[in-house]
Amino acid sequence: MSERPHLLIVDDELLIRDLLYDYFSARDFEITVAENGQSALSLINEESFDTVILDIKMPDMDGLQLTEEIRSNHGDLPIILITGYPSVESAIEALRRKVDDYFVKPVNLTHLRRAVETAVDRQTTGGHQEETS
Amino acid sequence: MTNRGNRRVLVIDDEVFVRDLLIDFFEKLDFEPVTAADGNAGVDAFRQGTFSAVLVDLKMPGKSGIETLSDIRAIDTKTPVIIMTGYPTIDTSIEALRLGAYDYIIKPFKLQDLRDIVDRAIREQELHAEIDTLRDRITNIESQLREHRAQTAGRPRVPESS
Repeated sequence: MSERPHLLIVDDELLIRDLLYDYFSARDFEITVAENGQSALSLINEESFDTVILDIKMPDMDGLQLTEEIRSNHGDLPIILITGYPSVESAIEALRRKVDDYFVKPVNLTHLRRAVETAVDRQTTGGHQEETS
Repeated sequence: MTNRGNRRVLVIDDEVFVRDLLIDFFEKLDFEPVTAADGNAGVDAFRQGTFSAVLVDLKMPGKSGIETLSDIRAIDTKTPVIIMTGYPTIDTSIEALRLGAYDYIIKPFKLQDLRDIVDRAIREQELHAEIDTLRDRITNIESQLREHRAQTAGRPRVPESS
């Protein structure tokens, strides 16, 4: 309970990584950043995260492929996608991969934070009704 | 293989042509289709019955498909809801994602694709139900174990016979 939620932020743009790092660090989140899909996957295999924020358009592996990888190996770890190039196709693909949310850049940070909090909550309670203590 | 016998599917679409087509389609697949011509009637039908899957048209007069999905989700979060539309947009696909739609398919679609989606949705739902049952069983066993430990905690141990 006392531990800060751990977020992984994956974006190839330094500006976005810095922006999100500063915003969420100031709001009592523990942040790890990755600049591409491969390093994100390595981090997810080594560490435990409460939610992952992924950019869709990245050079090595796009956010949807990365989502597929995460779903295959890490079940329903909450994933929030962000993109500067929204499309019906990518939103449908995201829906089919059971992504928690999908934001269009420039992202409203308050809305993103709410989505992250909902996702962290889902992760913490396991997405199921927990027995009450 | 999905056993479809006795499974009910709810189709909510204002176009009679689509409803008739899907009634025929689902009956041939051994489902029991139930139809509604608008969002309100669809939500009422959903409230009154148990369905293996729901298909909702996005663009309907009165309550939209997204509002219908939202109302259905307020009643039940597990039944797979598939959005159908001839007018896909980024906003509605994102809304559908946020409201936990199972799929979002663009009209005209191939009936074989719809069949695959419905079968997959039902299989996943059954797996989730099985996981929930197993989880409940584990919780029961754990509480029985705790009870047993509490009852035997103060008792002296019976010495083992040599």
